[in-house]
Amino acid sequence: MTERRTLIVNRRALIVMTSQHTMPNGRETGVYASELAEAWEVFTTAGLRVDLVSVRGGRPPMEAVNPDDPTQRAFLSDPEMVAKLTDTPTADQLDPAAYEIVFVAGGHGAAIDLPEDEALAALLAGAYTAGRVVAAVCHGPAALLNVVLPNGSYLVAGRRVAAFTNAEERAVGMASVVPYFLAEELSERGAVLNQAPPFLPHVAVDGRLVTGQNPASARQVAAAAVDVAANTAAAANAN
Amino acid sequence: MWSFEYSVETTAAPSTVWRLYRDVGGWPSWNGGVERLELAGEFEAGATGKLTPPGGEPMAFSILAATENAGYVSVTTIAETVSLRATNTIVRLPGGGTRITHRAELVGPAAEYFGQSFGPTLRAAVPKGAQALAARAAEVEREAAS
Repeated sequence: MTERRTLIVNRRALIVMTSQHTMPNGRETGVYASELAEAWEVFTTAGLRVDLVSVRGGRPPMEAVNPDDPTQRAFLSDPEMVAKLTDTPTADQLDPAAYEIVFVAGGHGAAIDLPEDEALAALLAGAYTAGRVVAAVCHGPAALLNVVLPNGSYLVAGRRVAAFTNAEERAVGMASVVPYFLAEELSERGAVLNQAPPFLPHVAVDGRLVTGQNPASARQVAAAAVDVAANTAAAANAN
Repeated sequence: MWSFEYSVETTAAPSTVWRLYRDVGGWPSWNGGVERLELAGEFEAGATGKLTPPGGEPMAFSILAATENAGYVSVTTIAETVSLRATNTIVRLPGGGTRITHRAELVGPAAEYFGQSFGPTLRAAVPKGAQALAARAAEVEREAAS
């Protein structure tokens, strides 16, 4: 089977990361390394330049780094990414319309600091309103919880959304550690939860909102976001 | 299939290690992945129970095979799509002591994905458990001798 590859040249994608170092029980956390690296690989393969942003700026913490994983090794040894990871900007420093895709990576810490970042919520609302693709995976959809569009509705309201499920939270022993169940909070804001059995890759695409359930979904979320961005650009050019 | 195996040696006899396996209430003393293990009945093939990880919720646990002074095979249901199968064996060494081998395998439709994401955590836990078991067995024999 021939791999389908969408190319978006000379445009940019932005990957959003948590700055949270620890969970309430002291467990170390950070951006989930595989989700970050796999999104970067998909975006760069598609021809996108990748920028990074984090909640507090500077060097964000990472969770579940696997030095044996070739994609993570490639990401962590890429000179451009090494430089950008060292000193990430914060959301208020960025123009949301500058990015074709804004992708929010997970890691348990994302559930703590992403929803509290008002500048990030504004950036995501701005990107979506400007016709860009908003994507998130695993605990990354926590960043969507407080994203309100100009019409006053939550971005997730009435949309199909995938995110880390309650069953997955229980299975990894974090049900009593996380401050809330992400799926339930999304549901309370009107999201239509779209869930698959635990730990299987699963992506929900609803217009320009692309979300994924767990770490195994990261690559597919990024690829779907690229496809949606390319289709959106093609439709705009046709008009 | 994701799997990881680790071996360690102890000065203790296989029977001492076997007693530590059978004493499921004492598992937290050597297995950092267990806060509590409850088994209905004896430590033998077919036994079922609940394994509670630290800070987690109870998971279904069952023993598939068990041979005195040789080892056992157990399955812990992590989620409906993935389980952890432990094959833990003990072999008497020619010069005395015991070789302990702990093998962890993820099985089920999401095993490969779960292994990619959470395998590194499991991989780090397996040697710690085997080393702690080896040390505990040696300690038990020293206490008995004193």
